[in-house]
Amino acid sequence: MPDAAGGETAADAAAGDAVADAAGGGAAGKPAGIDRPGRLARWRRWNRAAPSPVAEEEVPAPNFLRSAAVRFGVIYAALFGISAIALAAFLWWSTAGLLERQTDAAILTDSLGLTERFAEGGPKALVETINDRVLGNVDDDALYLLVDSASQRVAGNLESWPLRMAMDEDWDELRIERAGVASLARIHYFELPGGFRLLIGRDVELRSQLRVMMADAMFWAAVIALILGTIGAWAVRGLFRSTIADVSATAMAVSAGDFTRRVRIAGHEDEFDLLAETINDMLDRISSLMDGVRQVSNAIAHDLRTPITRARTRLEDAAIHATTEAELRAAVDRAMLDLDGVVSVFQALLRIAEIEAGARRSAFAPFDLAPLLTDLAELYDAAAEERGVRFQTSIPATLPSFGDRDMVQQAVANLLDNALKFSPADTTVQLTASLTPGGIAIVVADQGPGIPPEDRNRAAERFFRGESARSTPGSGLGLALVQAVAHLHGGSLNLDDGAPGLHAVLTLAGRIKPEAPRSITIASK
Amino acid sequence: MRILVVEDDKDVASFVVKGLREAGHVVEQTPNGRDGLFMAASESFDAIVLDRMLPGGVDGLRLLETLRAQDNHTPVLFLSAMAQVDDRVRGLKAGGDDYMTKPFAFAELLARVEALTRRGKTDTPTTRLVTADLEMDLLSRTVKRAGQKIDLQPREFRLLEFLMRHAGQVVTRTMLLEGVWDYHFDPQTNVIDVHVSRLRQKVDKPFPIALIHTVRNAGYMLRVEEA
Amino acid sequence: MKLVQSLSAILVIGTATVQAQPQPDPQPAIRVTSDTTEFCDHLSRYFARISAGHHTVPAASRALADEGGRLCAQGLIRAGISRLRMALYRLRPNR
Repeated sequence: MPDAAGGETAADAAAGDAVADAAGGGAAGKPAGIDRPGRLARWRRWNRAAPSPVAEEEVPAPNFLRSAAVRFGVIYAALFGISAIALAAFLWWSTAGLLERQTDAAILTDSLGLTERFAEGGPKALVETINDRVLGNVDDDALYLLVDSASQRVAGNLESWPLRMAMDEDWDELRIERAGVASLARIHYFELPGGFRLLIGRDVELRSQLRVMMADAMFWAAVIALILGTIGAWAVRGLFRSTIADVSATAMAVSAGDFTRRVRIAGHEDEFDLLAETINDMLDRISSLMDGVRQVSNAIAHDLRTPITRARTRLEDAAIHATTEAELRAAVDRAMLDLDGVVSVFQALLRIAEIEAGARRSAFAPFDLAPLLTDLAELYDAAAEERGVRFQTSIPATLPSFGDRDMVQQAVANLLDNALKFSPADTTVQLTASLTPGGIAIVVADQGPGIPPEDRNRAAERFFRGESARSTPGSGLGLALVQAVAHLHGGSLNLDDGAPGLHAVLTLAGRIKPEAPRSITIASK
Repeated sequence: MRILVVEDDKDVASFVVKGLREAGHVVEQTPNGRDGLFMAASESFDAIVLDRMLPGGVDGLRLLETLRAQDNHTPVLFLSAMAQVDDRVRGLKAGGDDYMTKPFAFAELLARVEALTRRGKTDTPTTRLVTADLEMDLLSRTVKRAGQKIDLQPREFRLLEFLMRHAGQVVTRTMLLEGVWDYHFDPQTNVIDVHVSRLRQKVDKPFPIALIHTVRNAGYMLRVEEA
Repeated sequence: MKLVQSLSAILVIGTATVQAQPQPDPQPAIRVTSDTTEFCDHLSRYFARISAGHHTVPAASRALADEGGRLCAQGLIRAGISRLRMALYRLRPNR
């Protein structure tokens, strides 16, 4: 099939660009390496019936056969026609063929009988028998002719011996005339001793009428097959097109920026519905990801704008109002601290993005989690003691694990940071690790204020900060990173109520293969 | 000390050069990878501060690889905006001795550069570290101050060892975290400060003169206070 | 279009095979002598001769023969002959 893009016009390409720009507000731009205008135009041409968001422009006339739907239709018609012909051929064989075989059998039986009569009683007996049979032929279809060596008629009900009959061919068709009406006969002839020749036949006019009838029937069947096949082809094409058109219209609307559009599900629970569901699931996933991105961008805008604004205000204030160098330096120092905060938010965000992209899987290696946790516990033990917080650990002697050591270290450190940050004096923070059937569970439990149930689901979102956390320093990215690390390791982060306090459970799959391809399954309902 | 700064951003370069000169170092500077390679190969430096993305066809990695291929072991500190873990690993694999990401605090940069030059000098394994009246025996793993034995936890010992090896230099919290704990992340809580203050309790508290000093906005320094 | 063409070709060939039968050559059609008025008369006479030799001739058989003779006289020869043959058939003793 030739590529339709070859027939692209300049108007086409321009219109395609306009769509892309209008869709993405110019920001999204065109995906590199994809002939987007050409594809759009092709869809539109193909899909003329569907309301197009773009004004129709000049496109080359649609090539009928370029449509896959038409091809399907023609194939359908061809199959229909072939099966009709096969049916007719079978009917012909089983009716006309049967009649023909019966006629031949009857003639053969007749000729055997007559040959016997001739052998028993000679020409005289044969003539008698023939006359008898002509007289008693109730079916009115028997033909006999006995001639002598001079081709003179001796007996029978045919006027004369057919001219062209050579003796090398003993079966034939013969035109006869019955009471002025033309008819057709099936005949068998052979020689008898004494130069006699005998012809036995049956009037098969009925059969030839049947033949004409069948031929007519087949012709009309063919015509009807052609008509029905064409109609069927159009129906198939329409069905095909309406389904595909909906998918393509949805895809076009989505690519034009309307993420609320979904493919219509006809409710037949067929393959098309399955396809539609899969596409809709994909669109749901994309739009939830887009929402996430949008939300994160908003959060970034807000969370970074605040410290930047603060730094700027300080600097401006100092520039205008500072009277001593010490004041100026103090303002600059504080502004630098604010900017350091901005940088650390950036670094955390990039780190999370890096983890979520799965790029770190290449750094996966086996390692023992137990000493890692013991070291962390040692690092944080002093900090806990300083705050008057009791720090308890329960770590097995060895915890063989597989993953990115540094990432797990940072995730657990984040959990411990959190726990210590929210723990009032004279409470306990517990770090527990254990082997579970699914892998390894690391639990960090504190007795602080915890997270209210309504916030728990969102606590691991980027920049989410609960009411109680607003007053404490932090970027709101700690748990998001922990969750990203958990997902990278095929595990999860669960935040439970420690009654009181927070009970954070970080699970890691014991052993996941690096670069494990995500299996794509289509759930059939 | 002679330090080469290869950095194409004018503001960053002049800031770094100015700061290093103020700290008493002799600084050469070039914005170009090709020139940087030429200078690094033909002259002798105590340390090189190297950007990764450089104009002139030779980027930081290429420069360093070429240098190391010529058996030149001048300590190199990468100073780069490429902050991903993989970038860091690549930089260190190419032969870098340290890796800092932009934006950076100058105090951190200075501390690390000085730590690098120090590392270059002490090639012979030492068994004893001495600062003023504080002595550390690395073989028997004992610490004495003014002849008096001080009992330290293993981690405290390593922390003090790190400070003593960098005596007279600023040591940042990040450097301590990396050098003593081998952690490459930034804890939100002041865990390092707590450990240092514990160490002070044992090393400084019982004695009239404090050796471990806090350097504002930078970190810590082990030094003898000039009278 | 190829498919449509081949499809119609199949149909045409199919119908042609059914219609195209061995054409009998141009020799004149041979007359069947058992479809003539003479044969009809012959059958009538034959029936009369046979029935004369019978003691009882079934009424249905005689009626058929009469009807056959009448049809022949009216020119419906094949129908008449058919009736006469049926009449003779019914006279058969071994029936």
